[in-house]
Amino acid sequence: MNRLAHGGGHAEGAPGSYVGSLLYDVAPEHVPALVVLGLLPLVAVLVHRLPAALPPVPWLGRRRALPAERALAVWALVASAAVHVALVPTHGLSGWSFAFALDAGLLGWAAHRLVTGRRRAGLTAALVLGGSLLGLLAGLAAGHMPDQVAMACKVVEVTGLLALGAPIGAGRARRVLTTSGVAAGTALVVVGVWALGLSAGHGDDGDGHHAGSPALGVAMPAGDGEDPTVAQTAAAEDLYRSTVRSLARYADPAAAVAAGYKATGIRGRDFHADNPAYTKDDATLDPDRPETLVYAVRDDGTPVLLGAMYQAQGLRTHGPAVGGPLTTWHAHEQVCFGLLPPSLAGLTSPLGVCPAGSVTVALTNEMIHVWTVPGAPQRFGDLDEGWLKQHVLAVPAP
Amino acid sequence: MTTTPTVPLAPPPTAPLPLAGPAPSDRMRVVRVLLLLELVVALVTTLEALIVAAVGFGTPVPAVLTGAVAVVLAVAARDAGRGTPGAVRRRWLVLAVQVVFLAAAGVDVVIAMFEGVAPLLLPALVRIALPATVLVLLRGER
Repeated sequence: MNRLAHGGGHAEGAPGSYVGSLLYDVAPEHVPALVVLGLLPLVAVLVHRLPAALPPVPWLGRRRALPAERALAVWALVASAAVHVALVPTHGLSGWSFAFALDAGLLGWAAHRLVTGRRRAGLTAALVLGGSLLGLLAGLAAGHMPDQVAMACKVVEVTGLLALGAPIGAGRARRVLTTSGVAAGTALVVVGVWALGLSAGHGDDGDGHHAGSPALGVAMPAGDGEDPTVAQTAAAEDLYRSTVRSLARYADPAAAVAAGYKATGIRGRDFHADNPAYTKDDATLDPDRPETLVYAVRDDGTPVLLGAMYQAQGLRTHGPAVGGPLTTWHAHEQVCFGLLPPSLAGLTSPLGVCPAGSVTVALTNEMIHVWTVPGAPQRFGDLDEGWLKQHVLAVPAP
Repeated sequence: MTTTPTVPLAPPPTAPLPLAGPAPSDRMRVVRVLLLLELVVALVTTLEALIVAAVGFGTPVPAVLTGAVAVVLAVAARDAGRGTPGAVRRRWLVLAVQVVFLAAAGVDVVIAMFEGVAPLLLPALVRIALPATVLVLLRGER
């Protein structure tokens, strides 16, 4: 299991900063594409509003004569092609550059066919756009997480597909089928992003393309990656043993509830029960007053205490990493927080939005997990899910 | 004296009901595509919210709310392709949804600024630029 998943290990970056998932960032090699994406609306305004300022290019004249949906699709094709062209120089002589150049060529060719009114130009353009959209799955399969520019490009391509597939003159069946199909394709891409994003350390394949990134929603404080000292190892051991001793009294959730933890209605494999009194006190990393307990439900329906989660107070306040790299704290980024009722509602979608009725918390305070369940292969950071299922959840309650 | 045969009265001429109005303008055609894009985003987000609720994080309320937004967007996209009086009257629904999107995005931007985190590109595109474009196009349509 990759240690970058949920704390543990280290993330490279400027000291004091956080390193999150690439999905919520812009890769440096994608900045030229971002500039292109930002300039295209200005070009569109120029073409539509000030045609006299442009040279009399027949291609532009033909494009203006297209129905509105086709004209929009041409813009989507041109935008996506321009973004792909801008990606070529920054990726050097690599397979990525070749793929981007090929995609750009196909997109531009499809746009030209649409403008010049070639036979089956709409179908060709839809196939090229669909191929480019689903082409992201190939990158995901290779372990490469898309960034904000890549996902913005996909949104543009989805717009083009909808414009081509569901024009006003089309029959009801075609419109419904097209919209459903585009939604299904988009969902497929989004599911792929989640699948890769929730397995940590994606892109760490040594080819320099978006390498090494924490799991989606996890923001790691940048560190230097040094090995722990003897004193740090001893401090980590002391923290672990103190926490084990303290948590023994909360094996029964009823005792936790009596102590003020919100440990009712335990469900799932990762149930976090906060103690509001402890989250508001001034103590940090106090084994007698852990801010949160983590429970899971065994296959036989009984709850089991997995460990504790300590929280640092205040944003950008670094927790005391007493064990150095052994006890790395982490924060969460782009968390969707539901307001009705107040509860976690997931993470910001790869499409850039939270569900309705929720707000986006861009960054949380820092926290660290200590796993006290007997035999846990990890004491801090992320607990191996396979081990948890096999050795804890599948085992009947004693 | 001759009498003219009475001719039964013909039914009064009636104008055909305006089942279909004038063809939608180019602006409305673009608005319709943008509403379909918002619909696709809402559908995918509903699916995500359902999965989040199913695995035990949070409640199903966000999924239900997002699903309701998807239904509204589907109706709005259908209406945008029609010029019928009912569809025109329901245009306020489109405006309301876009204003809600913009307001929610505004809250997110304020939270991000308060936390010292730069707002992301994609939310700016999907939750600010997209609804703002729809509003501008609809405004020009009046």
